[in-house]
Amino acid sequence: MATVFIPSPLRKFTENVSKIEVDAHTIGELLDTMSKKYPELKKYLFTPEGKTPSFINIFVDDDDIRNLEMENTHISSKNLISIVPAIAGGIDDVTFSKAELARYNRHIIIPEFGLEAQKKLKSARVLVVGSGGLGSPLLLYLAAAGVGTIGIVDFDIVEDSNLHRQVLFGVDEIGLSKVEAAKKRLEGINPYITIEVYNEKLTSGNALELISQYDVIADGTDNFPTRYLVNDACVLSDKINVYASIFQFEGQVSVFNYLNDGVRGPNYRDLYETPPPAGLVPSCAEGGVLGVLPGIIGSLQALEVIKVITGVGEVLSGKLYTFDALEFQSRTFKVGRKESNPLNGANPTITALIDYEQFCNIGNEERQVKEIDADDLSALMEGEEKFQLIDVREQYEFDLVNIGGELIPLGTILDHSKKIQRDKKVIVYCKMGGRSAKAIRDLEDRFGFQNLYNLKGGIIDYLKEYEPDLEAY
Amino acid sequence: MNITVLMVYLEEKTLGEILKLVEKIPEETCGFMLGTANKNDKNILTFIAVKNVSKKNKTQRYEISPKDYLMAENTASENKMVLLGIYHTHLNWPAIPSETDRLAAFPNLSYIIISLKDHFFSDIKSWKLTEGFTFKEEKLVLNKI
Repeated sequence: MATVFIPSPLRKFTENVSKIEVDAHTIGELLDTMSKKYPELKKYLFTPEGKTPSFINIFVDDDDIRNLEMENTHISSKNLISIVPAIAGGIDDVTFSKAELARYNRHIIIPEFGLEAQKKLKSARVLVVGSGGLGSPLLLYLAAAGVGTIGIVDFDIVEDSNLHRQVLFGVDEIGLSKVEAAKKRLEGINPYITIEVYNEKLTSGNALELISQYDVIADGTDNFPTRYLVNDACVLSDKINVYASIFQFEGQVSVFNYLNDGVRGPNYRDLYETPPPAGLVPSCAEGGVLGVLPGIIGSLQALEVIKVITGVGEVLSGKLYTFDALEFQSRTFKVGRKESNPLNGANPTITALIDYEQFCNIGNEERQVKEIDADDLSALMEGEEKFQLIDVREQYEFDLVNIGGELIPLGTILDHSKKIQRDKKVIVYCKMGGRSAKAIRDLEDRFGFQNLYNLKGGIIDYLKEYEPDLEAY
Repeated sequence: MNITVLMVYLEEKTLGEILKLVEKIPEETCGFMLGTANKNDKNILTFIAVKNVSKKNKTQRYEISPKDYLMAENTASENKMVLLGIYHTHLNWPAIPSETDRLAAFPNLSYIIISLKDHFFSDIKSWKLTEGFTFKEEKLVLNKI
């Protein structure tokens, strides 16, 4: 009877026993007997051809059987036979097919870039948050450059009003989810890379998990809550955040939380510790943007992502680049780490993700107005009480779908205040409830109305509940 | 008994000690994680750094000698601990198992990968081989004391 030592990972197959006694005269016989007794062990002891697999070492006392007589090695009851897993691994060699080498030739022949940088691009994983104005050129260039794995998070669908700047999409994609449309387009440009899509909103609930799967994060979003969320999530999980933003005629780029010689560079909160008061800085949807500007700024963002990955050139860390399209002026400001930074300053107060909508005070920026919901409106319509229904949308929206309200577009409401009755409830609505709230505030401030009620969620919510057959827009 | 490990606990101090040994080394480094395990958790209590004996390019490959492996098993049982897993570093590569890692992996061990970017720590993740011979990430919790 020889004693056999079973290594930890294989004990699952030997009823958790670390040493077993086996009656055998040679190693071959011993392995056979063990396989019969513990069938699950067999695939670790024999290759399909019946040989000892390369990932297993078998020792007779201190000698590897490869230095003895392999399976024919004689054993006696005095011997301790040890089964030892060969522990090994490492990283994959990045290789290129002929077609890939041809595709990336103009990169590879740049002396400072070369095959090494191209390999780094291929093994990199980049998460792009937002596939809109900035995301379009960013994704197009990252895909074309050969970034091996690109993740895209966006919950939006392609709309006609996107197309003046979001060059990733065309008219055929209107109505499709942005991530799916983007994936198709990018795979058309570069079939040698992998596109992973997340058709969802980046939230405090999913951000850390998503970000953890990537090396570099590129923030191309257009709102403050997501910008702080991306920044904080990157700092908390030690990821580099390549940031860009645009507004009307101006753009900004920087690389946040960059790791250089073991030291992290500044992040968004070193630049702006807290967001501006809500409503002060409008989004592109509200404030507008010159279509070519995200093309310029998103391309610069792609450039920084590529520099971060390859280590080629000087990364825009500790600096904020700004571009003024009207004056054609660019300036680069220095940004340093601040002691007051709540994430990684002298006394960090933020150690987990927070509620960023609340942090950015979204929804609290204006005075609340009285409101009713779709159910209340339906009850009013069914009931006896007299009321007036005012639609403050535009004529073209009214022509698409309406629920019988009197049309007075927001821009003309103050001129038509006489049409609004004072002796009964007046329900004001628009598409989603924002414009009608503004109309009510203006009418209250200017003419002292007290009988105005906003339809919460607008016509969209009402149609969803009560007129599902009418097409929403 | 089918052990489903949900959490792997590692003290920041232990990680710090490992990093002292692995940062700035221009080759992949490797070692063993020892500790205790129950049905739900693995608790890393200590580690044993060993030599990378790979005969290939050590910036991309590691290998542990069978003698070091047996030494780690012995140390674990002498100290009433369990050999929980193996750690190794990836240089300028994410803390994600490569195909090379997968092909050489054994079941029932945690493969803890420490990613170093430009010689310094950037990420750590723990992985376990599934019955389908693919890697699944385990939840690695860094404990502060």
